[in-house]
Amino acid sequence: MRRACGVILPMMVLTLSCSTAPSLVLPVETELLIVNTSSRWYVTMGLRPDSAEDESGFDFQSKLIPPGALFRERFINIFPQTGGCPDRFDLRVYLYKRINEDIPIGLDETEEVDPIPVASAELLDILACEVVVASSYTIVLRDSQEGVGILKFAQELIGEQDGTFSGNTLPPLDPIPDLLDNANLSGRVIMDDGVGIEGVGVLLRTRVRRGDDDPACCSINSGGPTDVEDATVCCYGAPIAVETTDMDGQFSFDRPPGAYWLEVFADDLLFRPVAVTVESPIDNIIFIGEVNP
Amino acid sequence: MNPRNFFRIMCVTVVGFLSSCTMSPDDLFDPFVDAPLIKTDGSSQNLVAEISRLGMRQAGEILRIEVFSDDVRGVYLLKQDALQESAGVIVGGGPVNETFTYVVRENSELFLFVDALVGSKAKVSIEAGISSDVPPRPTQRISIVLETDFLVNGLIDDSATGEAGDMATADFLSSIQPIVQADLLSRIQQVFDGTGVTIFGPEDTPEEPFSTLTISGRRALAAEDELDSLEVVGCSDVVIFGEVLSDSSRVDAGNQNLSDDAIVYVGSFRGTGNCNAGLIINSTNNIINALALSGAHEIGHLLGLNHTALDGIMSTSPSFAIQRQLQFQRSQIVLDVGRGNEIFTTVIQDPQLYFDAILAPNAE
Repeated sequence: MRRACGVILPMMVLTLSCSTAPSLVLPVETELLIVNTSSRWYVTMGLRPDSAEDESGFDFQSKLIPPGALFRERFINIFPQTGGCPDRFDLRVYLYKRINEDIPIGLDETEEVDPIPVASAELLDILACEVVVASSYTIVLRDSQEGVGILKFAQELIGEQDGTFSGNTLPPLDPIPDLLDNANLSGRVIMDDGVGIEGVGVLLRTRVRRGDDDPACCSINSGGPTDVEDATVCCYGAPIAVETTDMDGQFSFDRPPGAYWLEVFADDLLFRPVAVTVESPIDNIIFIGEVNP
Repeated sequence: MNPRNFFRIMCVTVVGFLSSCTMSPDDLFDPFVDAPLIKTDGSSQNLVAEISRLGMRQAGEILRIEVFSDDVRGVYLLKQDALQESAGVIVGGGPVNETFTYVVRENSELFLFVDALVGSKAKVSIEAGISSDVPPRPTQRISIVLETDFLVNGLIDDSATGEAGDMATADFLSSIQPIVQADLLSRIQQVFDGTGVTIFGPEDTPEEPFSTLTISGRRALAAEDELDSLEVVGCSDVVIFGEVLSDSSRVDAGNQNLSDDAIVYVGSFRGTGNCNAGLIINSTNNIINALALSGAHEIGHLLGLNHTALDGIMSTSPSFAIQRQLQFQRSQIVLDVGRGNEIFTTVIQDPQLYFDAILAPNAE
């Protein structure tokens, strides 16, 4: 009997340890979100896991992201070898300016940029999912003076990560990545009986954020400029494009996916609302018009 | 016991254990490799992990599955995920404590996953089915039911009615309700286009069986026992935007019920206190997108979709999603395991793949 116990007891212990071993946990399939809130700079970013054995290899390079645009990509597609969001990563960032800066972005057909960056830098060992597990890991490019770049990481939960850089410290990219593809950004202006209104002007602005003293309305998660008086001035830049509604009241902009502010104007008409904040792609923006009594 | 004998016994035991318990090289329990293999001979077996292996199955094979438990909420079939080696993607499912049938669609290794509270105990019985057990893949019809004046009743606070501003807003909301109805229906149809789900408007009479989604003007507060699993930061009233109207389950795993019902509470978007105030009422497209997103989310539950970690339609964090048009997307699932929500990183929900597996293509 004592011998039997001697066999059974260790077997029980080992059997339990078999079924209660720590379970495999995979990285959360977080997505990378790059938000360009600068008013002038076009940005592209290259990433590699900081554990990468090949120190030169930035296998992932984003498309060129214009002001106001958002770039989304899943970490599992960026770093298939790590299976998702890495603990830390290295970043190469390049800022460019348009050659035709004297005309609004929306009227510049090619949006060609000067091949020499206005600023570029390599930022190493950036905290990612070692400390942050969110549905989106966000990198925000803020507005800045020429020659300087300001990045904020991961919804600013990582306070110590300095994302400010200046000058050109990297060799130029050749070729420069293609501009981010356009996404649907359209809607209609109608009377409350659903009939479209022709000839209404629609202005498009991009979100601009400058420094830490900008109001909270510029937060990516905010519902728009409702928190502060005259918030449009600080949160949204000068109009980048204008369209006029067609005979069915339809309007459409050819812009990459992004966070935009649209406002409508016409003589003798009032609108509900006068302006909306949206994130494209979106195809059902609606302004309701009524005759100004 | 003689110490020498004890050492010998231990050695034999350890060697025997190591040969029977095939752990992953990194010593973590990988259920897709290490979980016990469930027999498919109809015997009742204990489930010792959330994920169990069913072995390689052949296309056309039929499995009759029953999981017995008081605290398991849903049963899912997984196959190997295409992107993650140690993850499974949901390809079917069924209720607990009822026998359901699963038809294997392709040659693949299958796994059983149970949505269970921490510490749950469950038994499973699986046997081969016969072809007469199996109805063809169903078409899922959803009828959208709109309560009268859901917009005004939902978005105008009763306690403030009579004030001039609210009367004007009520008149405005009444005037745009036909626009909202039409666009809401169109948006939900757009979301389910190509999924095998057919959406019917209030003027249509779909063939039986069909499920319903009601757009109600009511406002619904979360129950006390739901607060742990909801994001309630800074809210004075915690509201729910919609729910499945079922006593037994919030998710129809495997879409076994083709005539279940769900509801969206328009009044919950009105908000009070710090939450939701003015969230949607200031823009017609915000109203449409918020209601369409919530409607598509609840229809997702009717079809068997769970909450997800990424911010697609099945996410539980729609705070700023009303400013854009979300889609169904692949993501790891989030379940309330009794101590709050947890991300199951090894269980993937890919709605398009799931719909293809469980529904017949659109014919209507």
